[in-house]
Amino acid sequence: MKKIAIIPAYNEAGNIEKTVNDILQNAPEFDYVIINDHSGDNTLEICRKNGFHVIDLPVNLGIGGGVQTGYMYAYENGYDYAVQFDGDGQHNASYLEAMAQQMEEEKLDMLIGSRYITKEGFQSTGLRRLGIHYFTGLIKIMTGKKITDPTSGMRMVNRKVMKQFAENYPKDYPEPESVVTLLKQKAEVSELSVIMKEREEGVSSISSPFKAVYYMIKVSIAIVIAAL
Amino acid sequence: MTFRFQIIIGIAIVLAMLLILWQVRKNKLNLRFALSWLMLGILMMVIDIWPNIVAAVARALGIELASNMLFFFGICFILIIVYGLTQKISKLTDETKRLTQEIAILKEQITENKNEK
Repeated sequence: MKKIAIIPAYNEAGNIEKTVNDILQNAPEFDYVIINDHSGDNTLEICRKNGFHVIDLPVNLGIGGGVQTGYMYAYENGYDYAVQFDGDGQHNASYLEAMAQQMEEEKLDMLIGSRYITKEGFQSTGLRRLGIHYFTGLIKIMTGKKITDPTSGMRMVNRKVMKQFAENYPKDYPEPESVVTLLKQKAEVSELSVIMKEREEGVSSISSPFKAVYYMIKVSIAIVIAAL
Repeated sequence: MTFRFQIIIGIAIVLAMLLILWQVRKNKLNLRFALSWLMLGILMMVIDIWPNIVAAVARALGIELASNMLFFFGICFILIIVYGLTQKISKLTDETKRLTQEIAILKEQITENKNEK
């Protein structure tokens, strides 16, 4: 079994070393690749200095295009499982082996690491949590399936989904939309309870009220379109 | 519309169309995208020479003021062009994204090959 962690990184100079070391120590069976999304800080220099495996995008593509590059790479290089593992230090690599095991045992297409099954660890802030629960409800209405953490960036997929994502993946805020696309195809999607940390350095991509409103509207429409 | 004004408008249209053709020739504009503008130029030329057409068409469509009809169709034309541009930009964005990804993956392969040697 070849397994790889895709680490999208945009201005994550303060987090990237910790993230990679976490994988090296706690998920040694996993290869990893950092997708540097044309960071303006010295993320790339830090990666090169440490000899990290990095794919360096020559222009900024946003989270969707970045992660998609990872799926393209993983598919072309014959990986069986690829997991998105955010470069901002929120994810915990010690879950990766368990995720891969569950993928195999239950023959899943996608396994999402969810913060909201046992509700432990960092639960995100009030308004954000409200938004996430709203998406859970909307997805339930549109597909009939309950996904407790549809915005989770920690998700493992098999080769079938890798290929599909390599060909077609939403540009920005891709997580909820891509889950709905899979559910509509009757793919096997499941969740595993994980604990996430609060980001230590850097800023979230949804950093202003204006962006939050845009995010809610855009993702809602995307979910409805994907579910039609 | 006075004859003098007809001449002025006619000259302006001819100059605009020459500019478009010149840019096509200089490869600054694709003929594919210039075509709709050239068509519009020809249509405006026709109206400039026979302004009565406008009034006749407006009457036939049941529009009271000929100028209202011109505004209406003018705005429709602009909306169609702008929508076409939006479509084109979407496509270009996807194409640039794909190229960026391919380049990044190729760059990675080159670096990996160098490291192996």
